[in-house]
Amino acid sequence: MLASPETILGGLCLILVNLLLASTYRPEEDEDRETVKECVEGNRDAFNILVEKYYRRIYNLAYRFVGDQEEANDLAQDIFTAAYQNLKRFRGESKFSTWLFQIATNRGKNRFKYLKRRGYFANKGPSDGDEDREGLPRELPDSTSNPEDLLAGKEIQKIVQEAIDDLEPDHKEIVILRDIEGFSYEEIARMLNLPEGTTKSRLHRARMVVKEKLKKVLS
Amino acid sequence: MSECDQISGMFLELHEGSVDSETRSRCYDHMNECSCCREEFQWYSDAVKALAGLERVSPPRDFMVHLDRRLDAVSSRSWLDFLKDLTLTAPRMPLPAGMAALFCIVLIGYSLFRQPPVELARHSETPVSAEVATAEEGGKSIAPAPRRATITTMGGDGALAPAYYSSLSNPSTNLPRIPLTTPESGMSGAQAAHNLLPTVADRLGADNLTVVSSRPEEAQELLKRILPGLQGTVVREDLRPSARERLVRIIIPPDAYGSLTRALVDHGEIESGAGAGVDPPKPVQEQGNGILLYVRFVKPQ
Repeated sequence: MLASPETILGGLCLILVNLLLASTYRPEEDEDRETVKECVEGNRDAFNILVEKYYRRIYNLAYRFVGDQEEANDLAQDIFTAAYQNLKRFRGESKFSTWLFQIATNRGKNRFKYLKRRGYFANKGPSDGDEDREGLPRELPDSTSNPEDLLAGKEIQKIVQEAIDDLEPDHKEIVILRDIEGFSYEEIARMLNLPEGTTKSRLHRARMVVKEKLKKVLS
Repeated sequence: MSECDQISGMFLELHEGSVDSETRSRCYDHMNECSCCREEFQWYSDAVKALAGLERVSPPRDFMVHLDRRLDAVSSRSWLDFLKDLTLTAPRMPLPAGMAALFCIVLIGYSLFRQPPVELARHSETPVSAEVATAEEGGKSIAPAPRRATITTMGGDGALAPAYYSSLSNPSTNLPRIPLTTPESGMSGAQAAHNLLPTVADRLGADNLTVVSSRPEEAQELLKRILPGLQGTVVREDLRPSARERLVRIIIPPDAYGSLTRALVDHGEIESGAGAGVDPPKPVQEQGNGILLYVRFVKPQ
């Protein structure tokens, strides 16, 4: 049934108001804006500057998703390649780093799901020296030069990484972004296109899972 | 939900210190008394600490070299990739151009929307039946209702109403032709045909009503409200809905015809026209104990 003229007029006014609001929206300040602009214009060196700035963090994030150096290397290369190919689609409405980590998170999650389907994490199994876990301290060690504590620290790291590997993909990405990479809730919500409340509740559930895993192993 | 469950649900806020002092006091008071919650919170804090304490993993030294090679391979794309990215090479449309385009689309849509509905196709050559000649109008040709009239009873033959209805169920049926001469103007059928095309309601019958209202949908709702008081019912609505014309098929008791027309006139939503004192014509369509009417609501031209 066709709408009345009043309805059409009302809809038109609503659209106009939204367009006006959108035109007044100012994107957040981005220190990489000029560099990104040069990349879009075809300056490859500008892109290398961005890679140099972010590749360590991206690699670390990739590693936390897949838990393996080789896979992490491949994933990180994929992430930067995707960013390079899609740079023209970057509108500048968010910071470049937010956009880059959004790509990284999506690709990391997809790679994790792919590897999990292929049984990659099941085949990995528990790390060597599992029997040594009986002697692990309950207290998580701080930085120390004691070799025994260092070893315990490394074991703890493996246990924590295994706990992360057991998480669901949605929980895993939240934990990596918040607890490992240190993004704020606002940035995470923007990256994942979620409300902040949902971000926090997912993080809480993910932490509880990690807590249970640690408790089970270390108790 | 037990208090322990409530406290454990707040571990995130407690750990990050984002709760108000009253809630924090309540939680810590509980944990002072409940060793389970206290231990769970300790484990929770340790887990978060362990996650934050994960060592950063360094990429291999040749990472940039390999990436460079990969980007070189990507840069040399085929013409298919260029076509795929063709839309990306176009500049972003500025806001005023987008608004102007949107306005044009809405204007075109509105213009199309405002076009009058398509009239029913002219019917077959079948002449009006002889029943018209024997109708109460004394054998004169029955003219279609004048277009500027307000509440009018329309001339026609009762046989047209069932013909119209049958045409609804069988669209291929042709309606009988209506003579288009008008007693007032004396125009021939051909002359009248240039000015006035017979509409749906023109074919409906002697006792059917046309109501001219600036708000036909409200008038239609009014009719539905007053019908129960007249012991009438709605049979079908909006047989041909459009912005300018609405049609309702109703059944009313034979003695309610005058009350119906008076109610429609007196309410004020509808312009007065023929007046309340119009004698109802003889009903030509009976339905059980009631008479069948088509009431047509149109907007003034």
